[in-house]
Amino acid sequence: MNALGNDIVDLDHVKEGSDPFYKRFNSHVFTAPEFSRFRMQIENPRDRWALWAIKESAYKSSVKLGNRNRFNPKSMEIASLDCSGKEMSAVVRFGNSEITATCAVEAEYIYATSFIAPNNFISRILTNSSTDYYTQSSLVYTAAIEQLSQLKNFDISQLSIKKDSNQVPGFYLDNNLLEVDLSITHHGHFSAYIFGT
Amino acid sequence: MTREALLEKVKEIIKPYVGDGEAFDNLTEASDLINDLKINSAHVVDIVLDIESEFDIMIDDDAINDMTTVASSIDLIQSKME
Repeated sequence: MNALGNDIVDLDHVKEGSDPFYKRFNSHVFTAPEFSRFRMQIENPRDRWALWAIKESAYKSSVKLGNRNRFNPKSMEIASLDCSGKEMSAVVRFGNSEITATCAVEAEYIYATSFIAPNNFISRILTNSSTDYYTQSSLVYTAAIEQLSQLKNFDISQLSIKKDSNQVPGFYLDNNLLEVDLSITHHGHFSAYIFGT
Repeated sequence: MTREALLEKVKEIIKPYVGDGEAFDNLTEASDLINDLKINSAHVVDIVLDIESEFDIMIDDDAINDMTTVASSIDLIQSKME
């Protein structure tokens, strides 16, 4: 288990707030050490959402490592951040665990992925005309199932995706859970999946 | 403010963030914000901020973990307004 996580932010669907709004937002999302280390990024609207996506993605990884709390952004702390490459890379601390995350900041969306070790995985972003939750879920589930079916030569009619009691999605073949690490995200007009290969 | 009035205010606040309109139409105090109403966790902080503005209260970060359902959100608001 590589504890894969992902998170996508549709930049057209984030709240446009005033400076006082984001001051309060930031105070709920970032810890004092994060303010100290990454103030420049926190005060930049796009980078702020990138840090958010990194935390949310790392949270999904943390659930696979046993975290049973709801997402509280301040329970995850970004310990280091490298913005020198094409994608941001970060190390996020949760308890005694360290989760690595990368984040692409594009014109329309921000996409973060997280993992324990950089093993092989497939990640794909989809654009949806609908923002309806179930329509998006259906589209991203279908796309992930099709890709896994092609990759592993599974009978597509026997494949499905279900979430467990912790809301972690998993692939099922003929109703048997497969040992394939999977994470799914959607927001606004975008959705994405990542799974281990 | 009565609990019924608080429920109506909370419904107004969460409505823009709900992913499942049918679940919202059938909302009860037991409705889970994320699992039932399909509110993206990204919007939980938005809801916290909107509640703070609407009721002129401050919500502790630790309390965010307790805001799992409509009922627990109302309980939290009531405790902060006392």
